[in-house]
Amino acid sequence: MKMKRTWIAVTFVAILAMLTACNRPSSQESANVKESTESSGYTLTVLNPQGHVKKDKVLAPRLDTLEGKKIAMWLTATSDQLYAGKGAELYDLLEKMLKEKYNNIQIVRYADLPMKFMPENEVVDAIVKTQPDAVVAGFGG
Amino acid sequence: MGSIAITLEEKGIPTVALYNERHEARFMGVVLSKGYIDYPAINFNEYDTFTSEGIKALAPEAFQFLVKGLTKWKPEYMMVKDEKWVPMEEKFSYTAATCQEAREQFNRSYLKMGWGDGLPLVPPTRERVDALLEGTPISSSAVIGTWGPANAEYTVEKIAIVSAMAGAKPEYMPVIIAALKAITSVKWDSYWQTQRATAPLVIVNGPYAKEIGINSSSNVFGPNARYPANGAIGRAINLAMAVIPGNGRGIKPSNLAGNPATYAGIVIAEAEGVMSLGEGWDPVSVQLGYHADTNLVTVLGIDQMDMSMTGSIANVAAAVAPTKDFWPSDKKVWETQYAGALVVTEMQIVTAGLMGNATKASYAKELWDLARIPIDKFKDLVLKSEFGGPMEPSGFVKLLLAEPDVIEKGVPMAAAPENYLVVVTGGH
Repeated sequence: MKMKRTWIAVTFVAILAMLTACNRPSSQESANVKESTESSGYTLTVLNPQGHVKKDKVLAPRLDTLEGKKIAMWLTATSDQLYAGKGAELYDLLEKMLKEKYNNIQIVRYADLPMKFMPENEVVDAIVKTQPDAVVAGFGG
Repeated sequence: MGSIAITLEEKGIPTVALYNERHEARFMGVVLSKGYIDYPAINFNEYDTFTSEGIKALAPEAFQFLVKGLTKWKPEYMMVKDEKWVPMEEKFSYTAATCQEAREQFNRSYLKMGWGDGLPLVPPTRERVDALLEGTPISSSAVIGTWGPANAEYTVEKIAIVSAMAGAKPEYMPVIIAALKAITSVKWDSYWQTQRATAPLVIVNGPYAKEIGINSSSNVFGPNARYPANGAIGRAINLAMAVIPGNGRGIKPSNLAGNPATYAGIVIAEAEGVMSLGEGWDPVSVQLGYHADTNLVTVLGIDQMDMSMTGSIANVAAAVAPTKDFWPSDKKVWETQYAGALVVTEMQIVTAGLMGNATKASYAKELWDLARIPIDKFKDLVLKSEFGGPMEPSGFVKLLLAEPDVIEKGVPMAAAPENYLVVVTGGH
């Protein structure tokens, strides 16, 4: 293990850290800074901690448009459920907005689908039975 | 809930999810664990969903997301490269009039992305991360394990980045890496976000603990300015667990009340220097089959701590109770898992030494004898269905409940005394 242990090295590292933690942007960094607008400002460049993930699954193909499509709006919350929020109110508003924007859209209303998430196969079967082109899933309001 | 949405996707039906934030952890935990890193989901502030005014205010954003999610959806934070999901940006830059303002921008931005614990983060600059990488001989590109709902890769480079954010020093890296190697060797616990709020208890043995200043004396579970390593190491480990996995944003914390130990962790060293008082006080490393003076990091996921200061094992035992969520799934797990760690302070050893009759093994045996509950109570706590209904015992639990010793004394929390670790640490 390589570790800097002398006070000279530690001091050097500390000074180096202070100098490099906030630099005026170099020409290369400026090229990489999306939102840098001031050449006279300080630029702090930091690394992304997100780990890489093996690609495994692919989502279903998205639709070209919602025009003329059947959308199932599945909601698990009920209006009298504690902390359920007001999912039904949101869904009513979304239905209205969808119908205003897309003339021939068909909506399968949440009240016509199981408003629960168990047993899963029953819920899936009920949704699939309506032959939707897409599904909006909402939980808890 | 998430599995229904994914089942529909697998049937070729595009879906989009909207929910209030209390459902985020459970929903995305399932979706990510099924490999759908780019699933379109949006969550709203919980309290905004409680009122009609709040619903009206959020409806336009929900509508826009709904349309985008079902038609022109593209991943927002990750992209595919060489058959892997990788971040769209491997670095971020913050420009401001002053250094301090740039640091504040960075802190706000990382918190918004779910990468933080609310305490100030140290900027993980290339220079700082390179300095941390000097603390380990392992290559920065080495993958020490995969973990989290999406099995994210834990490279030494990413560990160094979160360690920088936590304020760690280069010499802490071997301990942080070893602890994360242990943690990632255990499969992601899908119940963690809904049923559990565990925190890693990290026990460090060997001379390296003293060399880098890991506390094994006064206030060992809290801060001690003479031994500053515990907090930064613990914070790095907990940040790594919350930040490195995910879909380009940090994974959501437990739905439950949480565990305060997940801020700065629970990192302790064993006070090996005081353990020459007598036979039977081998350090944990020796208990686990290693030579004395081995630099060893041991990690237990713990849910609760009893901070009994009375020295009475009976008091500790009374606080140990089984729960459905932690009860072992089969006999092999029951026989091999550690039920917990009993911490014995130097003072207790001195007392034991004077009395001349206590050892680590005797403490463990006493705890195992006392940490039991009556069978009826066990059934009430553990033998429950998912929705709380009673269940009949089966498998090894049925056999266990029929044992004469269990009928007479109650159900022990571990298969044998050896399933408790006894650690010596803490002050006088």
